[in-house]
Amino acid sequence: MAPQHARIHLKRSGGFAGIHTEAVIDTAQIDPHEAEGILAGLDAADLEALAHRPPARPGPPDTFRYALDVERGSATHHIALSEADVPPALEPVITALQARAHPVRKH
Amino acid sequence: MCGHDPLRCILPPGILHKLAQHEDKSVRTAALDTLALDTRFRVARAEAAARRGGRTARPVTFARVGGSPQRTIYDQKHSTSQTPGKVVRSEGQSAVKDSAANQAYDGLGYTYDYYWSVFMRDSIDGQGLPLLGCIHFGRNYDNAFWDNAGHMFFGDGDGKMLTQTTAGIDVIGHELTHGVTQHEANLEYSGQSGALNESISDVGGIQVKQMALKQTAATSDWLIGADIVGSALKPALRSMMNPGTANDYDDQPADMDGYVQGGDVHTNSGIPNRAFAVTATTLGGNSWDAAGPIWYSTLCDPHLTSSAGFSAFARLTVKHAKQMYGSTSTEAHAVTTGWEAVKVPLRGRIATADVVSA
Repeated sequence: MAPQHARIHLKRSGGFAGIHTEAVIDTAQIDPHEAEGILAGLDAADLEALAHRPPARPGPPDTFRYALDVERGSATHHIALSEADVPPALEPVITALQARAHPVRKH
Repeated sequence: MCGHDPLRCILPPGILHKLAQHEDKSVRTAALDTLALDTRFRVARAEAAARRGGRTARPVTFARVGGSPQRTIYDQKHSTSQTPGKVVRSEGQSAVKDSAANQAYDGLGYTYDYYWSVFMRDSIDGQGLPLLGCIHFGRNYDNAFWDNAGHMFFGDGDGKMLTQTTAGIDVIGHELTHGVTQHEANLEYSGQSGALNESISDVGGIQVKQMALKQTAATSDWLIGADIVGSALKPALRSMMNPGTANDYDDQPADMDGYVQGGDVHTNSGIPNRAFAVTATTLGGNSWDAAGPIWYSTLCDPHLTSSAGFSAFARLTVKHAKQMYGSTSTEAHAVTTGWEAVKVPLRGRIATADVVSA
């Protein structure tokens, strides 16, 4: 049984704007219904397999790339995805994070 | 009919995403399965698109005369499906209620007109490729992109970083120029060739905007994205004349002294962007009188490889300026001035940074 909360960090790069954004969610500190949806997405995604995939080739110009760090219990997964590679289970997770994202300097 | 499972029929992804959080586990599972299928199609399409491109991929058509675009605007209704949605405006139809549809239609037209009137290029592929614009893509989607498969997708923005992306004539010119590059040098989208790919799109995008708004090189603001930024990124996304000054997060270098090793393609593109802006303003008049054609003929030169770096591209622009206008011409001198301003070497060995791929 997976622990009931997770800490997720998202960094988004690419896009026409070329602006990087970041966001963090701790599911223990957000609306329980939203947290449930995010945890369901994490449960449905195979984080272990996603974390060990070879790096994604660049997608079409100006599409997004995501770097996702998921901490849950003692497990930590770092997942790099191009926009077209985002598995459906993680789409609600990324949507929730992106709604809280803010721009950051790249270097 | 959809059979025993109502989720196996075609549902918009937005509804599927909601169902993926449904309290009933069987509904959640079915929705996720259906979304997985949609994703596999999208990945397959992206992989197929990535394999396309280059000069040899150009089709040959015989019946078309050229000179007029074939535009269709689709409403994606906030779905992230890359299958075109409902047709809301087709070529020749009058304006509709939705401003995004009209902006997309007009922007695609401005871009077609630029490439046809200056270069007699019949659309993106030179063979009359229909221009398909897909508006209202996703929810709060802060982006617009060309999918390498004939479609341009427009998000509505989140209102803070970006607003309705169809409002940017330069944005539309930029994205469609990615399509032109795909059909010509097909520059690899990483390292210096990736930064060149981005820069060539900004060069195309700013000229489309200048032509549409009747701006000369001197009266243009040389800003990219000024019409689509929200409060967090005002006044613009990039400045071609003064890279690094467009907003609080703009990290573009203005010359090779600030080149970022392993930098984002949208970062180092500031260097060739400024070379073009300096060239065009040194010459005066319209950017598409000479500077634009020199850059375009370089892009179309078979000697420009898909992995070309800044120096290789710069040298070819000088070569084309001399061939087109004469070796001692004002135009050739202006191009040299442009590259010298950003410290891209035009002679000697190719700099290390020129061959670094990431």
